[in-house]
Amino acid sequence: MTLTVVPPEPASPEPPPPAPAPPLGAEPAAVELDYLRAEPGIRSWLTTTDHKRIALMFLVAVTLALILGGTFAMILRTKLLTPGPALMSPMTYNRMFTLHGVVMVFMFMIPAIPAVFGNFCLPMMLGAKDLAFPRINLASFYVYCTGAALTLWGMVHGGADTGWTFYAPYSTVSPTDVAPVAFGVFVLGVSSIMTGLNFIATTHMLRTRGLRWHDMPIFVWAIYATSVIQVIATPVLGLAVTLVALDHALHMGIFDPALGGDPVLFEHLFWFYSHPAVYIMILPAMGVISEIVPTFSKKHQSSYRALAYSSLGIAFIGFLTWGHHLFVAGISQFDAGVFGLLSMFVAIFSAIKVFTWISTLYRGSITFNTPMLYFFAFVYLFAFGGMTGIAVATTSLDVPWHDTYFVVAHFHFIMIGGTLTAFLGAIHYWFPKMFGRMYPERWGLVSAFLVFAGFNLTFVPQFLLGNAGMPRRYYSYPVRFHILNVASSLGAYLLATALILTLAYLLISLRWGARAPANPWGSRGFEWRSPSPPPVHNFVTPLDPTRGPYAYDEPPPDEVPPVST
Amino acid sequence: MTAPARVPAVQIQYDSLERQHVTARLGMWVFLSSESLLFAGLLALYAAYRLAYPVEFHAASTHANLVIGTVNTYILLTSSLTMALAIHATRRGRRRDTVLLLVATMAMGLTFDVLKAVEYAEHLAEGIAPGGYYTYEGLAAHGAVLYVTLYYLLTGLHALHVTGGLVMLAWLTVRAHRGDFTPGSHIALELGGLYWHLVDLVWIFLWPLLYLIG
Amino acid sequence: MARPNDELSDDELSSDEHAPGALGYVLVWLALIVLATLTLFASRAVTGGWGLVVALAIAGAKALLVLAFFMHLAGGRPVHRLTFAAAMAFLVLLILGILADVGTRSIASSYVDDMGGRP
Repeated sequence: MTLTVVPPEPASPEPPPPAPAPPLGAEPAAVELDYLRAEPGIRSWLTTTDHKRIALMFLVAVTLALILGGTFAMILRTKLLTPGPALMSPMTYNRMFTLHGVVMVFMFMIPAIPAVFGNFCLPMMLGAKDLAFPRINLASFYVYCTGAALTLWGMVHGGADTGWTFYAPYSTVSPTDVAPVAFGVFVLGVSSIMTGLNFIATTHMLRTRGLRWHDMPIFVWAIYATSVIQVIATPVLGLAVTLVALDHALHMGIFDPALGGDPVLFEHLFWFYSHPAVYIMILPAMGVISEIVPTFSKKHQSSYRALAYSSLGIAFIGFLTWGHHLFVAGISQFDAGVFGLLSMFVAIFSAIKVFTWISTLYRGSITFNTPMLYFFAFVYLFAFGGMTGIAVATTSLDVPWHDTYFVVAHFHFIMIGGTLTAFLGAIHYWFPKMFGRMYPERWGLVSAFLVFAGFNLTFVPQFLLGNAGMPRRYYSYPVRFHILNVASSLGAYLLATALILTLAYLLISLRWGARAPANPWGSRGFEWRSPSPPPVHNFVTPLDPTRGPYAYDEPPPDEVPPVST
Repeated sequence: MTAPARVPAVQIQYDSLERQHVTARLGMWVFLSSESLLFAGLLALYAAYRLAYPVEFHAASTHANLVIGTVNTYILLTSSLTMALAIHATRRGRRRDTVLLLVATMAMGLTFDVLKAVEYAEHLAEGIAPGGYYTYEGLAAHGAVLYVTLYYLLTGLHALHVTGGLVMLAWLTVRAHRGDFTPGSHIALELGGLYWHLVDLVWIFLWPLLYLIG
Repeated sequence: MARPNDELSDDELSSDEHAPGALGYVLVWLALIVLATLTLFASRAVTGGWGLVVALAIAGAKALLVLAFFMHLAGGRPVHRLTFAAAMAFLVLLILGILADVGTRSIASSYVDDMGGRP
């Protein structure tokens, strides 16, 4: 936790020999199989309570969601190559952007990092053998699948054309099938709450002997802060979408102006969740980045506490800003002023994080592996997206920009530029640990560059379009916006190509990748002190937290005993 | 929650049964916190509409069935007592008392639901129905309709929780009868108790807000 | 917060020590019944804005009794109190954020003036 590099303590014991003899009394030759092969068979996977296997099942699920949502995006961008009608009817277009949003937000973005990498890494980073409630963890996966199935059924059955925001009063009278989609979102929320609850209890109660709060890896702090948001905010969303579904199905009229109701109240409830939800998406991403940066610059976090507490700070302040989505919806000037002011504070904690990462690099020994490249992409995109966010949270600027492509570009900078790049960084960073194989570094670097280029080509034109006044969610547009739309669509194709390339080489590496050592990055992180892939109960020898996860002034803990192959 | 099987077993990730129970308790509190936020949204709608339509809300609330509401309040408060006493009896190792007290708690929960249904039926017969189905002539203003809709949503969500609690209580009663709970290990019963008290807690606020606002 | 988890005290490991006992539970119940009855009378005696304040104050007192004794927050682990208090704080925050909006504009006039919503 100090800023300066402390010289290695002379008293520190020599690392033990690479393959220590099994301790006396241990069963001879009882080398544990890794978690992937311990119990073969589909059945043992589907009923597993092992957090690592559940993480992999979530990885498959969210990847499918990403492919689905991405396919919708490609179709939308293809339509937008033409200013006038093309490819599909306006109604289909409306359904498609709704489904793109719903799938990407609730089925990919929200669970992506917590349910996959949080699930996999959190117990390992605490030296625990599993999460606090393994059966709830498994249940959360099936609840997720149920919610996803409901939503998808709603899509096939009639779709919803409300946008992922389900704004009343339109959503309560839309001719499309809003109710199952909304209810699916509710069920997905339940899964999210279960995940958060599990992580909170685990962090409190299952830290290994001697691991204090301020010794935990930063990723754990980030996931913990995320879990608090999930547990507190998600029920309010669940209620809001349920009210819309009830209203749509039974005409309850709670948001219906004809019955004296106020649609703005729906927006209040919706954004009380959905603004913090942005932090459900970005906080775990920041946690990933906070692990990648010290590993690839071989240096202690330049301020541990700044990173740890700013996560909690963001989680808290994130709850105080929801009103900035409602500036032009008809909220009072007083409330708009209050929320506009409070929104400025979010930037403080985000900036603390960005500056801490950057200063961690200073005088570090930096290696440009793929995760590190994603970190650079992340910093640029997050800073850009964050600053434009501050701009649109200013009441006067929000008025012309609201509901234009400027907003679309802004939140894609945060969500794709932030969450997706961190997700990709995380999958490359932990791939050796999860699967025991290396991915091809050269392909990784190339695709990371292509993702960055494709992303910018897609969304920088959208900033310009929004600034020029092109509204979001419109089927057609004036010809003067044509060039920028074409550029954006081409960028989207490039981004999709890069993602497909990434998926392809990762899938190939699963089988043909080089075998990964326990700690290919020379990281000091706790999860790297176990074999790759880890045994069922995570560690061969119990984790010793006295050497911290960022102790780069000490030699790497490469004394990991091998696992039978 | 992840209640242990009949013979309490320590799960692999815990070093003791005690720690497992402490963790379950914490998990339950996190769940209860999450659960109260579910009601928060409806309470916020109530607050907003009450502020917008104070006169109509007052008029509509005087039409609520105060007798049933009040009797239900006493019933739920008392059921919280029997629930607490049931856990107390388990701690003293009195299995028979535990079962009896749990059955009493269930009986009261059931009575609450039945009275609620009677109240709903009465209102519906008058045409006091939520939203677009509202046909009562006596109070036709928008604020009154919103009050009624919120009344149904709030009490309906609460009644759902009571009903869920009844299912849980039935399961706990079976387990108590079977002898699953010992003075030292009865975490499922304890967590069930916490849930039941939360249901009570919600009603403590719904009762004055819906029946007594003067 | 910042302490190793192996330092769970015996008190924390067992909630039994803080249970009020049968008599204690009955006394709490009596207090709840008295307070409920009090609310009933207060709602007749005090009307208007203060009626709401009184009703909510009594409800708050009852809630505290239930939380502290029936739910063992009084003697339980501090983290339970912290968890629930945080949830309550966000609940209040949601209500205040919405009231700050609704209280400074008029729902009724913006939507329903022409529909004859007000009596």
